[in-house]
Amino acid sequence: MIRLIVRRLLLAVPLLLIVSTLTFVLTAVAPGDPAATILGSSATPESIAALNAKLGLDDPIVVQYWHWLENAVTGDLGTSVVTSQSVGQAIGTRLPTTLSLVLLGTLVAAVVGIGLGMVSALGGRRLGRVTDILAVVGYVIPNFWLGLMLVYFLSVRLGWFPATGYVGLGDSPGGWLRSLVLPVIALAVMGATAVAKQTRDAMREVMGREFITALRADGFSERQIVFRHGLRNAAIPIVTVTGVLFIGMFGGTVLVESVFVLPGLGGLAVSSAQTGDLTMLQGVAVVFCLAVVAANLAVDLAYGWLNPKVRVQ
Amino acid sequence: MNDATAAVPVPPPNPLQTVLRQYLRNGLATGSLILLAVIAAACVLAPLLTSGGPNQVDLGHSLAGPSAQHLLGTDQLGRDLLTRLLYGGRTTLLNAFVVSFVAVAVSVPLGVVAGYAGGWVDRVVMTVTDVGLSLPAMVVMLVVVSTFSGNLGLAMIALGFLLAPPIVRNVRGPALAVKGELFVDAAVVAGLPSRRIIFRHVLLRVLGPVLVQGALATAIALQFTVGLSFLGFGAKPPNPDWGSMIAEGSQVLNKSPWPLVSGGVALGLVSLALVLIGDGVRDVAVEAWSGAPTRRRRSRKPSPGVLAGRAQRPADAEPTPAEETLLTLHNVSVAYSASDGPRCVASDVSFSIAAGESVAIVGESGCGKSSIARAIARLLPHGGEIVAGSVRFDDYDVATLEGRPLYDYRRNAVSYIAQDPMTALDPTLRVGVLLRRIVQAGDGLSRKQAEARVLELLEQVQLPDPAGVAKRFPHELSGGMAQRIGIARAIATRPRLLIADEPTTALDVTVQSEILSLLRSLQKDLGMALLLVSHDWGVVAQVCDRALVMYAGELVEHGKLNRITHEPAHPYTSALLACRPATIVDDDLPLPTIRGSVSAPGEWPTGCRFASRCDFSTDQCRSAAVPLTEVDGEHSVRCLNPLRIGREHEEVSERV
Repeated sequence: MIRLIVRRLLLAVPLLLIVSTLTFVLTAVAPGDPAATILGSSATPESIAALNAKLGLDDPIVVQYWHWLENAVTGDLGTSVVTSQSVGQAIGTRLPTTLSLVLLGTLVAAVVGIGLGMVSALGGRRLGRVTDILAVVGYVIPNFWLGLMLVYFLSVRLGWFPATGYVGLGDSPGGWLRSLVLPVIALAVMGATAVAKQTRDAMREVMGREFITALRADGFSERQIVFRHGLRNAAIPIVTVTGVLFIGMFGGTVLVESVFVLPGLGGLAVSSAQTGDLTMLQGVAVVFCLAVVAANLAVDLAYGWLNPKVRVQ
Repeated sequence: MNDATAAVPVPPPNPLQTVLRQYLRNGLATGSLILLAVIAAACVLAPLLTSGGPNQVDLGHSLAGPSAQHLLGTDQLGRDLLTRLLYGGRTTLLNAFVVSFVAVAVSVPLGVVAGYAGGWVDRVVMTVTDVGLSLPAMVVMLVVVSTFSGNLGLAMIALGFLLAPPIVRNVRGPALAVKGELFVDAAVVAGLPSRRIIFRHVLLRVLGPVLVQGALATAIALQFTVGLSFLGFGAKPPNPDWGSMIAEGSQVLNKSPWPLVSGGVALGLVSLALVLIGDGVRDVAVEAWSGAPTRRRRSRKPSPGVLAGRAQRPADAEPTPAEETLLTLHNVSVAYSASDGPRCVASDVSFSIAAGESVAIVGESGCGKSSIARAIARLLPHGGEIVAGSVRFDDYDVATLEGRPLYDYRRNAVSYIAQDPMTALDPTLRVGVLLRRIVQAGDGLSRKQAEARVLELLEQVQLPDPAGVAKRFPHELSGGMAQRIGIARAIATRPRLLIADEPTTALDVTVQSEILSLLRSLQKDLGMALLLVSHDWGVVAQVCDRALVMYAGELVEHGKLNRITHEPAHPYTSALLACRPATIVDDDLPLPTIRGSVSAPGEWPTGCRFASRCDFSTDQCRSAAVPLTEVDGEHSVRCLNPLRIGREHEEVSERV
């Protein structure tokens, strides 16, 4: 168990290094000169050189990378050359939005998916077929398009929810929830169908095992067997797929936040990409990687809790 | 081909055509392939199919709905949406195919090499793959498109790399598996160069998974490219692609939904086709080429009517209910649903068990003895059913129980000890917790009282250190300990009948005897009746007073154990007894066996089911069903020419 956690944490190091190296290498080979871009057409060669020296951009790329790494370890992710904003600060103000979105999305997807999967596992072939179809449909509908359709029907036509915008949880809990309903649905549909399919398959497999028969022999009711023993034993693949969808949702926020104009990290990544703000993008990439590491770690810990064989080792 | 290669056992012939035929039989998969081909062809042929090009502006028809002139309507500038969709599809689909081509081209060699080479190569590739799986693909893509703005081709290649890790994993598996297969070893021994082995065998096996993963990767790539161009990193306006069309549609959403719908539906249809193609290939190719287990067979519920005729037949032998009779089976038939209708595994079984009595069901595997035992406990596996007859246990009409009464019956009346004690335990629970739940479920004990009762039970089954054992998980137990816990569990609910289905078959011989004497003493002490299912006369003799012999789903003989073992009346019983290792004294003689094998359920003859294996069978035996007849008050047999009664069969009875 401890070995597993250590392995996960060790994998995080190359992961973060690769992502940051990648952005640095790309900056180096990218056409164009950031200082020239910042100063615009009125720039003189002297002013460009001065700005490059001030920003440390005339150092060799390896030296620049080392400086960035040194600062990153202390939590300082640098300053955007485009907006002159601290990357850490920009991320800090936008993190709550993205976290609200991803956590709520995962929660909704897991609850709906497990419920649907249980019903279809225990409810015979026809319900199983429905879950199969839903899983395929959920897989092929892109979240941003679904979001736009939700906006069209529930905002433009019916006016039930705001089409765009975000209300902070601290400002108005009701408004916060209302502003997140549509984006969360758009994000959660694909995950919910994936969880449903996994739950159905895992439950069917577990309910066919010998110990379920033995529990029936003990006189436990089907309900007790399903919820106390079946679900517990089917939980490992369900937890796995939930972890995967949590990670996937961070990527999904890039599009969904753009559709709903939410001030989150995904939107920040898009606007930084549009302005060529690689420092900012790099910061976002690092945060996303940290989320991946955290999710994998949480899944591993859940395995340990769910599977006594892992725990003992 | 030289002699050495000719000697190589040839793997199953390349079933390419068979696989293709099977795929085409799947309507959904074939339809998806056609749909994808039609859409792709329409995009390629867009200049021929449409007129005016994708950028022909007609401000007079801004945002028109679908009409004969504009099948999908127009966008804000009055441009025909269908035309733009087809032209845009050329860019979008091409991008998606490039991505998936790169992904497959990168991952197949990596996966094959990792799986085939193993060792450190495998570890390096898998670590890289793990890291790749954790990269935030969307953000990395934004970094790439932002750096090389305008060069979408480079971005697509990068995306191909990002989508490769899952394919590497799916290729590595079959490559690893094929390496262990015999014909590859044989090829190596035969001196075939490993390059050729990889080519001929490994690649063929991984073709299925690659096709499946390739289809899925294309679907994912499609969503990524459309997503990127939706964000503005796609085709330069006014040229269309599907993502930018959806983005334009979102701008005019409050005026008309058509531009948004047409782009999204096109994207959805192509993704759907790709996913269904992947599913279709998985169903046929992965099974055929990599030997993966086939899908679960469809099962149908048996229609009770099929076997109803049997139930109406007069009873072969009325069991005489004694006053202390606990359980009575009357003409019970058990059937499982199969693809071609219900399949009967036990028919017209009648017997009874008195309180405190100890009875064995004996027979070869496949004779229906476990099905009868499970039917009594109402624990038949999915698809199994009591299709005729009645089972009475005290006041319970067992076959009709449902819901709460069924749970009460299973809890209070019978207990069931399974063959494999380990798999009968919930692997996630400490055994003490499981036992506590069982104890608490009916008796309304407090947690403390229940825990004390659990320890008492564990002591009763003679486990050393009960408190320590209670804290263990199933995988920390030995087989003998697990079966003792199985027994503790069975007696925890104080049943009146204990059913033990081959309780010692999975155990070591030394442990067997201990478990049996424990069962015997607990049965006596607690006054339970015992129904033991076994193929082993030695086990039966140690525990039981009475025996029921089953053959091919029928009861062929029953009576006192003593009587049956010494004077068997049925030739089958006699032959079964002769096969006991303990009876064989002369080591030089070949081990006695019963020639032939039990005919499978569904293939039973009309007459005596043992006739084809019997030395004494006559034409009469084969002509009609043989009734169960009483030899005397305590002994019945289903035979027209029973041993000892009609004739002497010296040769057989000598050994017994």
